[in-house]
Amino acid sequence: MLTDLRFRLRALFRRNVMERELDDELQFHLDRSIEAHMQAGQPREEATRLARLELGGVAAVKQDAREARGVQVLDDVAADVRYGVRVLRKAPAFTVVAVLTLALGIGANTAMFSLVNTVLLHPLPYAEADQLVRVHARTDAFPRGSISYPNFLDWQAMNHSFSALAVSRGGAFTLTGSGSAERVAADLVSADYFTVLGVQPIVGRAFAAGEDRPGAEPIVIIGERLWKRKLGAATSVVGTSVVLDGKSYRVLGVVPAGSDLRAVSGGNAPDLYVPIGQVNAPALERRSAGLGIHGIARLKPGVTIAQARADMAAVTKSLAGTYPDINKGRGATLVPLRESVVGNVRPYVYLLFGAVGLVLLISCVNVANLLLARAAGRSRELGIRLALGASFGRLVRQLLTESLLLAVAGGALGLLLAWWCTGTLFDVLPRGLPRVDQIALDARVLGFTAVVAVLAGVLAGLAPALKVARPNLHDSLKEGGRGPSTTRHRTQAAFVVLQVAMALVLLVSAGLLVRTLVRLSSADPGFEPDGMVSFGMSLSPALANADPATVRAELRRVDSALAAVPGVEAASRVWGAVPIEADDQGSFWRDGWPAPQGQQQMALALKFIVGPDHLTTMRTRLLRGRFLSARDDEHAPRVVVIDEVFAQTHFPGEDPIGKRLHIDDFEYEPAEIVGVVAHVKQWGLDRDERTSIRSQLYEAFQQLPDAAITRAPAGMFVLVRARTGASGVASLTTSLRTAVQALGAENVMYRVRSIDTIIASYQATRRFAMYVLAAFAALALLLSCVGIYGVVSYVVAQRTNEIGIRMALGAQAADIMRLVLRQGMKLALAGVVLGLAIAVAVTPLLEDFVYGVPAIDPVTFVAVACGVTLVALLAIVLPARRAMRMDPMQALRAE
Amino acid sequence: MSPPKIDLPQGTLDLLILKTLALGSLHGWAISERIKQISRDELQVVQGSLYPALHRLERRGWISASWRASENNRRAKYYDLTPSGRRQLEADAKEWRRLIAAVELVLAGPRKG
Repeated sequence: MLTDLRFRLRALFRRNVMERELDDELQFHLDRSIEAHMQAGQPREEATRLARLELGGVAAVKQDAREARGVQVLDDVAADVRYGVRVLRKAPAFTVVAVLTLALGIGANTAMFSLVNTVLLHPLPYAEADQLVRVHARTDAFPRGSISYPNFLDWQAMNHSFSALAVSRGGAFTLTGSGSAERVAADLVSADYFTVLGVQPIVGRAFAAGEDRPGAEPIVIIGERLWKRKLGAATSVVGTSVVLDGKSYRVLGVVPAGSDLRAVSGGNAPDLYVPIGQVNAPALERRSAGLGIHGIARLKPGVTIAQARADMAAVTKSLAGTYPDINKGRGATLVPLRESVVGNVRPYVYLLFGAVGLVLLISCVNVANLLLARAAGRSRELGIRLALGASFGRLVRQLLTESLLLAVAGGALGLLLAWWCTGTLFDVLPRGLPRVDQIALDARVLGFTAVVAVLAGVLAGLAPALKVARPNLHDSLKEGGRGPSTTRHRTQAAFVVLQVAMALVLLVSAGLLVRTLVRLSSADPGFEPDGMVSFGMSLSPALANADPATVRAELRRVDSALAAVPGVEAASRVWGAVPIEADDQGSFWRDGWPAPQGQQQMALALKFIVGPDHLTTMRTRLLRGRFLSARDDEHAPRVVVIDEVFAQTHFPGEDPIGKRLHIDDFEYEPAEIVGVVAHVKQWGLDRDERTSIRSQLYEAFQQLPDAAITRAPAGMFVLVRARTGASGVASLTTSLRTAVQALGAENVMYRVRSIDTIIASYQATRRFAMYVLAAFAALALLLSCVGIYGVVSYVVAQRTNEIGIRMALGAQAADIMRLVLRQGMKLALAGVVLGLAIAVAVTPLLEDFVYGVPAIDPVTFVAVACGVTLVALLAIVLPARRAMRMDPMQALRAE
Repeated sequence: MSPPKIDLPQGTLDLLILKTLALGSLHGWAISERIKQISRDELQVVQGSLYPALHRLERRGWISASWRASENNRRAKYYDLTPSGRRQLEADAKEWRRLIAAVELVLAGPRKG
């Protein structure tokens, strides 16, 4: 077998050597034969004649020997390729256009596939990642809510499905003692967090059982990036201490950044990990507390997600029986980790992949049309080959070889294009997808490109090949190369109509996304985001153990300092929920209602704890009464402000001013409602209306109970309104930082962002999809125009003679223009109509991507239809003008 | 004039070539001469089929070729039997003998017993 192949390959690639050897061998034979005849007494001429006679026809022998070498098929392919390359080189304009068209189609597909490959197909960086499941608490209001720590401990003990269940909670500390004070992001995790994930520390060890209990020794595991950035990547760091929020933590080890759960989900890995028992809040031990704790579990081998869900349903039901006032109606939500990482973006990726498939189809149709048009000039050549005995199959093979050559060249160029796209283009676009920074062209992508290129080659070449290789021999030889032009013309026309229709569908889809984003950016969020900065701030760790009066005084000092910063119009310290950035709900009870069974039954509202200048900072409208003021402090009666949704929901047809609310529990005096403000779209502009907790409640920061206010220095948010509007934000940041530092050397300012940026980041995925889809749609339109242009040019060339006659008979240039335009526009308009029909059927599928715009949006449809018609007109006018300027004498002679 | 030569039945040429080469390496001309000689001029290899057959056998790996100086000091392409060619020869020869024996049996006709 191997000898056979080697022999065939040698025969194929060293054909010259083989041919020469065969010649030599036969010559040698002939000479010996002549010698033999001469020895037998024949004269030389007679001997030569006899010898030749014996050998038979040299050419036939050689052909037989060649066939015996078994290279006929390979020979044919090689000949086809050589012939194809020659043919394509002779028509450089055609070849360049066809290769570029295919390169755009294949390149766009390769780029998209590399995205699909990385985002959806690449395995997560964990062993047996399919066993990993995210675990959340479920209530009616929050399907993926926070698990309270006591419930977690019970879930851990009572389940039968997980080999391990761990929890984590995002947090932050001020790191002091290693260079300048710095705010670091931390995950507070339970002991077997790394065990569940199967993450091995780079140095040192992970947490051991029991080390995560409240009251245990403060220990910390450092994230790889902080280790390298701040600790010099020294392995000796294990066993030393770092100071977090003024407390010393012993370093256990260092874990890699790439396998962090947040990093895998498209976020940033935290700087360090601290046992969850270090959470400095009595709420940790409260079964009802929502502290943003979420679970990650590993299924036991052989346990399915459905079995685990049933098991957890039983566990939570039993706990609801044990603690009915808190756990009634509280279940568990289990989401496979992969689903939780890519579930949100998968529809977008599919949408884009579908779109790019259409682009490829359009470019294939384009090349098919070009091939058809070109074949017009070749039908004589093909007719001759058929007449000389080439088989139909052989001709089809020849033509397919040509289109495959184009596709291979297009594929190679497309790969280059994709490489540029993934390397450069995706970096410029908004970061809307997890792991999008890891996109690379790996073997799988290369394989995909190869398959797509071959497919494109066959797709583009098959129809023309079948059509052209079956010409009516008689006609094509007689007609002087024009061939059966009418049927071919019909195919081309159908192709163009299809192209225009597909481009239109893509444009409509892109248009809907653009309109959605415009609608979202012009929607009123209930405040003015332009010119606002938000940042986190923590005060010196020394304040951690200060008494309430000292803390309150320090907070007042901070407030005046911030307000005095040049360029600041107003500032508000915020706790609890932060507009757009962070959610925190509180429970309340209207004074006078019959007392509830437990906290679980109390109503919920988003709770903003804010400074007196909050309304000025946000520029939220005051609807009734007054807002909180500086006089509403720890000595004054407790007051609250509610939003319009709260008023409509809980005080329908009543005046809420003067009514009283119990907030969180019944320990304190109820608070009086003093004002109503406009609703702030907290949950993102498009999601706000669909969420269950929309009522909003404002409390004065200084009226927080003593136990709560002492925790404020550890971290709060600050909202600032810049006097100069959006343009002054950058310089304002610098002066704010100086002011915060001046208040205390160990104060830290972190997560400084303009509110615009935060709002934009919410739309990152959609924005990413919009840019890419718009690019694809533009590409599709461009390719369709090339298609229209090509076909109209071809028709003009075909009808040169006729046009000449018409002109000779007195037709004016304008008549000719009209003639060509009519023919071209018929195709374009047919495409537009077909495209609109398809779009009406398809766009309702886009409902999930669209907000505030009907899926069958008349504005988008009309605008796109007009735009496509106009661009098509342009593509037709160019060849039409050429027809118009034709010299009738030349046109008549064109035959 | 000698009586007309025997036409080689289909497939036997390969067998003859292999057998001829079993005795040592030869070039194409010598192979045809040797077959003629051993068969006492009864078998004449048609040249037109000799060379395609040689190339076919080479492709199958049963014989190998090399260029060497011939007995009269010219460059000639010599063929050698390969080990797999030798095995093939044994198998083909056995097959051939069985065929001859069977044909002979049939030609002899059933004996009345």
